[in-house]
Formats: sequence, C-alpha cells, structure tokens
Amino acid sequence: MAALVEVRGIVKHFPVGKGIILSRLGGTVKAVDGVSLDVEEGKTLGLVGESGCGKSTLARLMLRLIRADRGEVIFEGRDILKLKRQEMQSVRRSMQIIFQDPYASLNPRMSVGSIIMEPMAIHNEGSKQERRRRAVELLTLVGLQPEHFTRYPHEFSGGQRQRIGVARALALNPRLIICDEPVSALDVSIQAQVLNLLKELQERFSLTYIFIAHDLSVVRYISDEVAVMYLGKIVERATHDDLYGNPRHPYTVALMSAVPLPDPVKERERKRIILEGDVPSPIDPPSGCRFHTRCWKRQEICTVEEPPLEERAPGHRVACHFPENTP
Amino acid sequence: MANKGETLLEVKGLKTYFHTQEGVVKAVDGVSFSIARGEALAVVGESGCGKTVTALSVMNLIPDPPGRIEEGEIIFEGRNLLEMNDREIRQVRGNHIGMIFQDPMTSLNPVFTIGSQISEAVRVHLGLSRGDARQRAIELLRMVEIPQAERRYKMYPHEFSGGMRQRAMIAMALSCEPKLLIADEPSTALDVTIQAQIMELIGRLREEIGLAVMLITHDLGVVAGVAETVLVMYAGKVVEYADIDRVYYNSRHPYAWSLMRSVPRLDEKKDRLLTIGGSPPSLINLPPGCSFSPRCPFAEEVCRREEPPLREAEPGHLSACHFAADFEQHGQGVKA
Repeated sequence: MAALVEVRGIVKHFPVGKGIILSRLGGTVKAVDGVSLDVEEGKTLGLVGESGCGKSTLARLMLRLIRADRGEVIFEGRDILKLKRQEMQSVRRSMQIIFQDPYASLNPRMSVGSIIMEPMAIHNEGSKQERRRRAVELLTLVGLQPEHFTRYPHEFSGGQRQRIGVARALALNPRLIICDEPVSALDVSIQAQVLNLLKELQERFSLTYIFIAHDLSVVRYISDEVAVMYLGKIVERATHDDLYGNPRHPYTVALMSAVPLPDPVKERERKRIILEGDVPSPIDPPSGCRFHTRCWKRQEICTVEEPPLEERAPGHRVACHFPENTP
Repeated sequence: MANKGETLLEVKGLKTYFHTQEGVVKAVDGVSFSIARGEALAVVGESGCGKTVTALSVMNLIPDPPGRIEEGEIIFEGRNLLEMNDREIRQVRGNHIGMIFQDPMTSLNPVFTIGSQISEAVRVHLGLSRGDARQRAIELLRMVEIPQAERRYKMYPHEFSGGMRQRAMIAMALSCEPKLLIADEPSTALDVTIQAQIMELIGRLREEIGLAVMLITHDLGVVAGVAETVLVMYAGKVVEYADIDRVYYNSRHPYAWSLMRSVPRLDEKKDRLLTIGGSPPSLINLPPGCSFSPRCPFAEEVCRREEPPLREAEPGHLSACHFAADFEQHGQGVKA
C-alpha cells in the first residue's frame, strides 16, 4: 500500500523570549527536531509520548496549521508545505483534525448544525439545503439525533460534544483525520464509546488516522502502527504487535512499565522500571541521545553520539545504541 | 473486608447536598465505609459521582453555602468530626488527616517558597521553632525524594515540575505524621512515568510509616496497584464495596462490571470495547429506581421501579443491584 502522508525531516523550533520583552531571544524550544514518518492509507498511526515531546506540534505541522522551519510533508503526492494558499485550501478538505478538549473546540455561540455545516460553507460545498441534509446525516452517523441540529454545545455532555467534533471533521469526506488526544478529557465509560465510533467510521470510510495520545493502552486499542516520541524526536517506530510485544527502546520499555494495569494480581507481581527525574527541557536537550539522562542502560557513547533511527528488525526502527530485546 | 484491623475512620450514612438555584444536588447520598489503620481504600467513579465531595466531607471542607452535610457521622479515632467546633477540627485536619489534590499548582501558594509553606504547616501544628521547622521541612523534602533538598527549600512553586510539586504537596500533607492520607486524583495531571514515581512513593510511605490511604481516582489501573479495598460510586451512592480482587475479578454490580470491560488495556489486544451507553445522570434529577438502570445492559422492569439497597451479595461483598446475588448468571442470560 502506498503512503497517504509522508513527513520528511520536519523541524520546528520556537523562539522563547528572555525577560519581559520577547525580543531578547533566550533560546529556542526544539519542539520537533527532525521527524520523518509515513502513514499508509486506511491505517492508524499512533503517536505516543509524554507532555512536551512535540506530538501535538507535529500534528499541526502536518496540517500546515503552523509553518515548519524545514522538511517536507507529502500528502497525495505533493509537498503541501510548498503549495500556494489557494492550492492549500483545496488540500485542506482532505485533512481534518479532532481536538482534545470538546469544550474549547466548539464555538458556544453556534448551533450544532452550523458547526457541522461550517466546513462545507467555507469550501462552497453544495447548496444550503444539501448542507443541511448532509449535517443531519452526519449527526445520525456519529450517534446523535437529527433534532440536535438546532441545539447549542452547552446542552451536550463531553462525549456528545466529541461526537459533534467528529461529525464536523467528517463533513468534507476527508481522507486523513488527525485525532489529537480525542478521548483523554472524557470519562472512562465515555471513552470506549468514542473509540469504538472512530474505529467504525474508519472501517466504513477507509479513513487514515494519526492518533495522538499519551495513553499507551488507548493507542494499543486503536493503532496499526505506533511511533514513540521523546523530546522532539521519534525514538521507536514499529507495528502495533512488535511494539507492544517486543519494545526495543529503553524509553518505550519504561513507558509501558509505568502504565498501570487494571488487574490487581498482575500489578502485585509486576516489577516496575521507575525512571528517575523529569523530562529535560526542550530548550536545552541533553547531548547525544536525548534520553540518556534518565536511561538505566546509558554508556559513554550515549552522552556524545546521537543514535540514528535504524531498522533493527523488519519494520521495526529504533534510535538507541543498546536496544532491548535485540540480539 | 474481613479481618480488618482496628478502625481508623468510619463514615456512616453521609449525605452532602448542594443547594443551587436549579435545585438540590445530592452529591453524596447515604455513603458508608470504613478505613482500618494502614489500609488503602480506593474510591472509584466517574466525574460527578461524588467521590471528591465524600473526601472533602471527611475533611470538613465543604463550601457552605451552597454545600451542607445534611446527615451522617464521620468517626475518626472514636470521635465524630461533625460534632467538633472549628478549632478541634483544625487539630484533626493536618495533624491526623493529610490531603493532597489533583492539581498541585493550585494548592501551593505561588508567592511563598516551598520551604516556607512546609515549615508553616509544622510550626502551626507541631509548635516548632523557626529553625527546627526548617530542619523538619528539609527532612520531609528528602523523605519524598526531592533531590538537593536544601537548595529546593528556597525555591518557588513555579520552579518545580509537576511531579516535584506533587512531591512537595505530599511532604506538606505528611509533615505532622498523619495517620490517614486522602489523595484526590494525585497522579491524574501527571505524565505516566511521573505518575508511576508518585504512586511508588505513596506505596513506600505506607510501608514505612503505616499510613492509611484513601485514594480517589477514576483510573482503574492506578487503583489496582495500590488499594486493598474498593468503593465504587455512581450518582452519589455506593454501588459496590469489597476487597479489590472481588471487585475486579468477580464484580457483583453491572456498573463496575461494564467499566472493567470498557477500558482499553496495555496487556490485551481487543477488537471492540464494551461500551456503556448514555452518560451519567444529572444529580438534580435522578432516574426512578436504580440510577444506573437507564445505562444498564441487564436492567429489567424492577430496576426502573425500585431502588436496590446496598447489601451483601456474598460475605464481605456489598452491592446495590437487584441481581447481585446471582449476577453472573443473570448477566450471562441477558448477554446470550
């Protein structure tokens, strides 16, 4: 299968001001620092990492919601970072995003109907009647009722709002949807509803997802492939089964070990790898391998030489000098 | 729940209501439980189920108005906290019961150093001198594994990371050697690797100083690693109460039962998650009968009519379900 999206060496550094006035530059936050990845059509790539690792920035770069400093984003065969405004506009209908906070991402002054019709209006799709019909159809598709059309976001619960966000993302029949932590603000019993909905929609419309989350359990459920990010870089990339069955990067191993299992017997027997300290600042990331300050396998070389993201087994890429589970 | 040690805290028939313009919100409606010395009890439920209000009621920190503890007893070491005056309750709070919250940033004062905030607590409660309080605060920072405690003592909350702030909060909560620590979603705002550090720390402190813990969380995974007993709440009421293995492996309430099956797990590959339809009810306008009945996959006519009492489904296992006694068979029958 061909890749629907391909990112090559994308870089985004944000300048940070020192003192009260921003003009005195105090360095740059290396939010995304040379990331390459691709996603096949109809598949889901899970993007995992802790807060500040750059996963949301990467998503916004891929949609060109923010400008990349360097790199390419190939979508449907074209580098969208080089497109003119108008050309970009037509590409945008094929790429949509669902946001984390269903309270902040819906305009409280717009009715649900107009929220869902807005993308169609922007892209001049159909007549008013057609848009209305489509919006009602979308409401039913995401498990809401046609009579919700005239209601306002505050009348809905978190899970229902996220469904509205999904309906809006689907309005223009996109090929790619980036889901940026779509369930982390929802209650446990509601998460499953939204996750199942996303899976069903994917099967029905062969959608391609990039699913960003900090929760490895959620990513395991939804993804075909998983990329793990740490301080602006991808440290491991593998298929779902390989990554969960055979994690190779020490950070991935530690991350999985930290996830609590809803299983008391397993929890009692479990030996945890507890990482020391916090994630270092992306303004001044550690030399060599960025994970070396917290890694229990670190050697001399890790502090000086950055390990490249290399294929250590078929389809399994790791950026580590001394990967785990590798002969 | 059998073979429990000496009871440290006992809550009986607690009712905490909030009187709002829209009506009376029965946030906690007849909750009873107990915690033995050194025991870890987890209170589990979704947002709005009343778990935090239960904890705040124990601490007597309900904002009044609009909230009020309408009924019930909160007996800590033999004394009813609800019958105490403000001075007495302040002695218990802090000295005997410590509390940590979800967001450590909002619980720390940004204009005072971490050290001064911890030493204030020990000076007020233990009556230590300035110098001794400082020593004690540094000791506490070491106990919660904050590196370079002397240097950190002089720093401000904004100079701490989220995990370190939570450690500082724990240090403050433990400053007077309380017997009970109430932890309200202590790791929810933190990254997983930091969450693991904090939960490990709480576990270690339990062993070292024999601390009893009341852990409030929505995360079924966090509970599994810490708690001995689990109290499941739904719409202001206790729906299941038993030791953790019973609740996790042999649940007798459809809410807890479905909740376990609706979470994605790191150690399992699932094709579809079980979903619980609908969303939690409004506490002002509860459905008739069992509050969970509109979402319950096994509900029958009786469930919509009569509210099931919390009673023993088997020895030491409380459940508020009409079909608790033969829940498995009942569930099987309906599913098939």
